[in-house]
Amino acid sequence: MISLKDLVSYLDAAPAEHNENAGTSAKPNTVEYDKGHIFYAVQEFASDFCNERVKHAYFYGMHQKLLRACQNKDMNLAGYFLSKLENNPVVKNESENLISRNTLESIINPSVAYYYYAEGNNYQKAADYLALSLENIDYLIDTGFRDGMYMKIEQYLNSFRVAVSAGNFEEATSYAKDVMLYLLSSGREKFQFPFSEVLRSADQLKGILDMYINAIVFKTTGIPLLTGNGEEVLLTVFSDGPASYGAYVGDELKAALAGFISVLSNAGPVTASEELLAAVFSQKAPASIQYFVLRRLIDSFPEEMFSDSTTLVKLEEYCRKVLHLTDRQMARLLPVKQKA
Amino acid sequence: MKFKLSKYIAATEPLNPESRNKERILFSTRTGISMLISESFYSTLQHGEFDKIDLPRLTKLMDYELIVPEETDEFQEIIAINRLGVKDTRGIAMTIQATANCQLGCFYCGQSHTKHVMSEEIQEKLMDRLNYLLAEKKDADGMSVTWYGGEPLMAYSTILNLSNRIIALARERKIPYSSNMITNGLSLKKDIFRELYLNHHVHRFQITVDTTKEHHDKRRITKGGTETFDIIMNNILEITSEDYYTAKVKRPIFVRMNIDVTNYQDVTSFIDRLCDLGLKDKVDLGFSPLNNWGEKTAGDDVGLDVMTFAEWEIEWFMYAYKKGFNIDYILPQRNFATCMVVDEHSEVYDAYGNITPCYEFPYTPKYNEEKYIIGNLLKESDTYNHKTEVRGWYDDLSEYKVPKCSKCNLFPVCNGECPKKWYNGEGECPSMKANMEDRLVLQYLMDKSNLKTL
Repeated sequence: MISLKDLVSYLDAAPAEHNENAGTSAKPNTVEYDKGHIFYAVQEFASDFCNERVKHAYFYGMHQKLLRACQNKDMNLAGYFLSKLENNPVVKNESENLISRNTLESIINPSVAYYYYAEGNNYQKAADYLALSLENIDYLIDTGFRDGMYMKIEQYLNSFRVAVSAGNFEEATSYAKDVMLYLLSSGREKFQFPFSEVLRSADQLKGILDMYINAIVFKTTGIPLLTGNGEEVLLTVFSDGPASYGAYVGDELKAALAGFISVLSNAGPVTASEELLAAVFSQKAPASIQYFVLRRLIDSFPEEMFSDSTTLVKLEEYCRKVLHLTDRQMARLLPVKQKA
Repeated sequence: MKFKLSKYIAATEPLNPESRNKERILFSTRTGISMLISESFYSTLQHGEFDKIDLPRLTKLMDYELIVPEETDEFQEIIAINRLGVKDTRGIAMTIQATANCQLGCFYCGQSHTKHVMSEEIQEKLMDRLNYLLAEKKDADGMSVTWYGGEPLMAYSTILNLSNRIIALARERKIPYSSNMITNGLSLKKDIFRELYLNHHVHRFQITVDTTKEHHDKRRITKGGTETFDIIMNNILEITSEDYYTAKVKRPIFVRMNIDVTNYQDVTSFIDRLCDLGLKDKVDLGFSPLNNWGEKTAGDDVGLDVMTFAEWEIEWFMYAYKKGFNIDYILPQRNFATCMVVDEHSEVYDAYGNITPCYEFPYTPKYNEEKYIIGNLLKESDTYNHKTEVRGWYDDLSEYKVPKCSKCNLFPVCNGECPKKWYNGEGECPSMKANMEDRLVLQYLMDKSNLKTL
């Protein structure tokens, strides 16, 4: 049986470069389609049907201010920016061109949803605004804005986050499972067309998958362990892979997911085989999967293995420097410290 | 929906008037962001031809708040945002003036000094007050203390006692704690500095040196008439030569110069002196115009007028920068709070237990009136006056009681600078009003590579 020291030596010997951004704030390597550029893309699409650029740019700026205020937890300021966006008759102008209106609302509704999510006591309203934004995006996709799929998958992820926070685990599982299957699959699943039709490169997909897997796993592992719901959600989301993987999904990720699922499916102590370690602790495996398996391995180790402080320091170094874990996530590896 | 160019902008003249591609610097005071802009683009903005602007630039202009909806009352909007921004402040800021005593008898000081030091009973009540503020502000994410006086080091043991208790409380509540001190530097021996700096989180010491020895020793003298320049400078030299001096921050000492008609021509000589002493990398510099203080009218008597000060200030910035001092950012920033007076979670406590909204009020006879005092720590909190004159600054501004501010393009980065002065009828704009264009150009020259062309 592998020891904690062996595990840490294994991690130590693993390639040091691990340049993906981990943690819940991870950003995809989407290069062309970060949030700013999708706004430009949808505006370009809408410009064939209407000329409202100045107005849209103004509301886009307001949306950015709302997001920043929420992220800084400046909720009084956020409330001010919200008042410029929510129920604004200029935004909800019935006489306006439908493409223009849906374009604007597809940007505004998610940020209004984020306000209620960040506020922390009105998840239903957050979910309602996300549902509205999905309607806006579907309208745009159905009228020809195919890159709207990037917006759609993002709102699926946000709907998952809101549902987890609201304790609606069934709904959360459904959103996460649908979007993961779609991203991994070669088919269209429950969406309008296969993701490969708008995807630019394998690198782009890797960035997106890392971000989505990290967001789902980290958010789920944040569910209090007492409820036992976290692992159930993950098992349902990840246990049934797609009928066929998309061409851009890398073998390393498939192996990491297989290792992750094998650990998830087994409630008992984890056996750290060479095969599992190679699959999960590879440079290309998402940080969240490594974190999850690490937690389960640590729980399986007997107490006496935690007496060597050098080993513990190295473990912490790996978690911080390679996996980029936050203090909160590090604290969830607490058993290590308790045993120490 | 119609839009207009914000009135809150400052612009330089073209930087390169001979060139075909003229550019100028544009500064959005609503956001504190500056940018380079071509002459033709500037003209597009001024003519309100926003639909001619490409989308990436348009979104930036909106984000920088250079373009706003036509119907916006910008002045009222800035005040509304300021109020909300102050409400979002999660820090608790205290100024503790633990003694009314000071060794010095500066001619411009408005304080009336006595040997009184904060009693244990008041210290106890101060801790109760802090606990009360923490209970009221459940999301507090920081606590800070400014130690001031009189001369704070005349109550050194009281400061250590209070500091230990506040640090313990911050630790218990898991709230970050920071601290700074405004001192004349006379008693700031290296052992005292070490204790405060390394063990009490005092990471900023503001020491006033009124330029050269010749000037300083005429004004910052002890009550008995003893000169202090050499002692203070020696203290600074000893402290800055210690190994641990930069252990917490790069430049813990900030040298402030009070400048008036008598000493402004020797500011550069003093900068030279600091340089010769090897202090250019070790201290920060600040240039302050001499103002009235309480019943002392030194500002009226020997103060420089704003225009003159503003012109010289640019010279001093450039001179200090060339000499290698840290003059890294001279543009004003967008702040929601004018100063501490508009934040109800920011209070000043003096040695008698008085609570005031402004640190210039304690021990200053002019401010003994009720309208300046929130209350006293020894009395019940339901007796406190939460509507002291200066606390109502944003209300008075929003009622256009200070017409100069409501018309000023720099208002969002100034917010009236010092409410107390306006209430005293001494309202005068800060130097940036007179030298903003020069500041923009100088900042551009100092960090040319960082300024993006829009």
